[in-house]
Amino acid sequence: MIVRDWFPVLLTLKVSLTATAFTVGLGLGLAWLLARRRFPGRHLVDALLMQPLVIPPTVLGYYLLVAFGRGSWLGRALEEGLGLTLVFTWRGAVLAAVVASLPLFVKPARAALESVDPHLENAARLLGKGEWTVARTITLPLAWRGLLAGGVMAFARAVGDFGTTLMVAGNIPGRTQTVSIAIYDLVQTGNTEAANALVLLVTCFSLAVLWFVSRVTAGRF
Amino acid sequence: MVRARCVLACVLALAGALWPEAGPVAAAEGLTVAAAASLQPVFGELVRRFEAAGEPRVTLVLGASGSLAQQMRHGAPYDLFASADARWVRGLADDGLIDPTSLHTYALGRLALVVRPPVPLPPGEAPLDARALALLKAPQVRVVALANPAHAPYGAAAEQALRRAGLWRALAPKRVYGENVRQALRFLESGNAEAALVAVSLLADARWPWRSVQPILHAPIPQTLGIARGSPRAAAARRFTALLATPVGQALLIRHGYEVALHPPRSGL
Amino acid sequence: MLDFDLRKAFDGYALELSARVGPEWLVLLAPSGGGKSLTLNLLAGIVRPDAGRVTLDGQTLYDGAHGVNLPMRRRRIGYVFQDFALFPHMTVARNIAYGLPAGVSPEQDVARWLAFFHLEGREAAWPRELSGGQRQRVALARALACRPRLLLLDEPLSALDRPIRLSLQTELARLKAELSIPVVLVTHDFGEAQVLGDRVAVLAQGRLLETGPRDELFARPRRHETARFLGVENVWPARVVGGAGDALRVEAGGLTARVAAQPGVGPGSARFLCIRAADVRLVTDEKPRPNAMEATVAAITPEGAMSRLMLQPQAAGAPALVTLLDDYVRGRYGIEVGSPVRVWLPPEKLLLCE
Repeated sequence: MIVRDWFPVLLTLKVSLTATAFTVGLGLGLAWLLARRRFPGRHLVDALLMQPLVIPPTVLGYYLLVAFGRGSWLGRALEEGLGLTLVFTWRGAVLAAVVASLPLFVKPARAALESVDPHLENAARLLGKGEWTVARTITLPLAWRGLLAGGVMAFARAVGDFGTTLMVAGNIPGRTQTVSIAIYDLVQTGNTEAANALVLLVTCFSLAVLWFVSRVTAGRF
Repeated sequence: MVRARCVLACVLALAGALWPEAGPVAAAEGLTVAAAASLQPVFGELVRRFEAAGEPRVTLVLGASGSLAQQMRHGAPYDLFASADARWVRGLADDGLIDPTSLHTYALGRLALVVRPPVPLPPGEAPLDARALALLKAPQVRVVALANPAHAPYGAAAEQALRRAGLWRALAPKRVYGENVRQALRFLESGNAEAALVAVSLLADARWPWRSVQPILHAPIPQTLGIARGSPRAAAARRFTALLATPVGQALLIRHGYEVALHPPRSGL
Repeated sequence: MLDFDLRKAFDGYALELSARVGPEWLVLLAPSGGGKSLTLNLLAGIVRPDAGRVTLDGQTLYDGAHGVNLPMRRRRIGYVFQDFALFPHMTVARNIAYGLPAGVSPEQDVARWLAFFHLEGREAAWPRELSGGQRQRVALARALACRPRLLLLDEPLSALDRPIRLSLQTELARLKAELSIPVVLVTHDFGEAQVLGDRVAVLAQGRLLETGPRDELFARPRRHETARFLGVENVWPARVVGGAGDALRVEAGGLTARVAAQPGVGPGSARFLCIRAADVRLVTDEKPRPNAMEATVAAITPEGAMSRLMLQPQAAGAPALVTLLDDYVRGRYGIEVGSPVRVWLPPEKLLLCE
């Protein structure tokens, strides 16, 4: 077997799925706020949210390291209060992936929510439905394509993250070495055969996911 | 919508099935050793012997000494830090992250120049002096790879040697930095560099011609290690370190070109 | 009973209107962009007024002074949007049943409304499969299925082609007979207003110009803006110069005419003299008539089987008159540009407006 160690693959799946769940949960709330509410500082929030797209991944990782590491009050509070260590654990990788993929979800999600005709939502309200029911029966069903597209982008970004994860979680084989880092490591040591095998695996997986999503979102309405 | 729900169910099932626990080893048992990239041949072998002797599994994390030190400052869970020189370990000891009583210099590192044919090395086996290094100025040497002097000890040594030889400025357009010595060597092996200045320890099985560099051209490179303060696995870390003093450990160090006590350095091909 | 008084600033000017609507159809007539949809949105609670009060069947829906603003879902108002706003991801049956309370079996209600609107067999259809007229009816059914206390219709026929429009007008008239709740319908088409309104209110520049029973408003509008909006072509500023008994003499530029007397209007009053083009007659005999004059044809504009003629009276300073003439008649009398004609303005067709 060319791939001797499946751990990076399994870890990456675990990290990416967890990160995507967080991104979608948090991102949906943010997209909703930005799409539906006018509040002071709205544009600032939007700009901040897009930062991870522009900042170099290592810089982003550095900020996260400083903010959540042992040297920060936040990191210490989490460790002592909740027993939760983020940096140099798989949770750190999740953190890095969430921050990196959040903008890729929020933008299409927001566009999808905004694309729902407000007349439809008002019609639902006038027919006696409360906000949550309107969201559940009208807005989300009509926006699901954009939300799914955003979710897939977030997932793909989480799978592919390298620089930020390396900073925040480190390259600890068997603990935080995700598939991207593992490939990098294999290339460094000259083990191109194993590296190629992993690259092929990840590529096929991404292609499969994207193809599947493309089919599912081919419109009906 | 039914289809979407099926997809969701599949994804959740997949996630549940693939949920690996924190690692093959529960964190409490295993020893985490952070070592400079140049120490990979020696420490890799030591890890194998250590585990074979019935000790718990060791996770070996390799990187540039400076990067590893920075990570320790931010909470990286390394029990033992083996740097390629003394500076980084002493710095961490001064800041209370490493137990100062555990500091141990066990060998001196040696710098080597590796080349790709047809770049010629001078005949013989003598270490290269300042004049010999001038071969790097030849036009057939387009790229010279070295580890980043800012955070890799062998990179710093390479810079010192080139400066002493008066070649640092002249080679400015040819210099390429790797993140550590392993990467610098990769640049040469992949054909992207015609010459590389790396640690001798990486070259035991090298396929490329190489020659060590005279030690007086650079400051000594004391291979120093230290145990993290308050590590629950300090005892295991000490046992691991003790391997270096055994005849097997000493033979390993010598084979990989380290200076141990008064043994002379090796050069190859 | 709907009782409202609304104020809202928008688009450069302010909307200010109030009215009372019993179990009847009030048609709000206004040109496009005149604030019609906004009025409905204010009543429905989609947009919050700046000030005012709205009560429906005694319940206060909005009171600016006391900070009362009932959320949309509690108002029990049916609203048919201009673009119908059918939920595209639900079948006809689910659309209609959407507003019904949970737990109530919707099939019976849905079937009843489908039957009323001649949509039997379309329960499982999707909105995109329906024609414009069908969508309109589904939208109505959906709004009515939850027994609203007030029905709001936003230009219900404007999105439809002419033949469908006519058939739907009939549907709505049929619906009228069934409903006993107040209905507010907004439109820019006075044909619609004529067919469907019990009372008509004309909205212009954010204010109600005139409100009144439909027939009265159309036959004898009180304000000249209303007259213009209703399509009266001849509207001239005029002055009352004399009067005796049941007639007034009015001067508009160089044109003098006799109109029926109106209470409160005497010599010196400034008014507008209005008459529909179709009521301006061309006569060929010399019988003495009031309001007759000589004129020359200044321009001819064909309009289907008729022509619109612009006539310039001989009297100096008199305004141009517009009249409609059947092409056959025009041909028969050889009337062309420059032809001299004799014009008669029947006094009972002349309107004196504010």
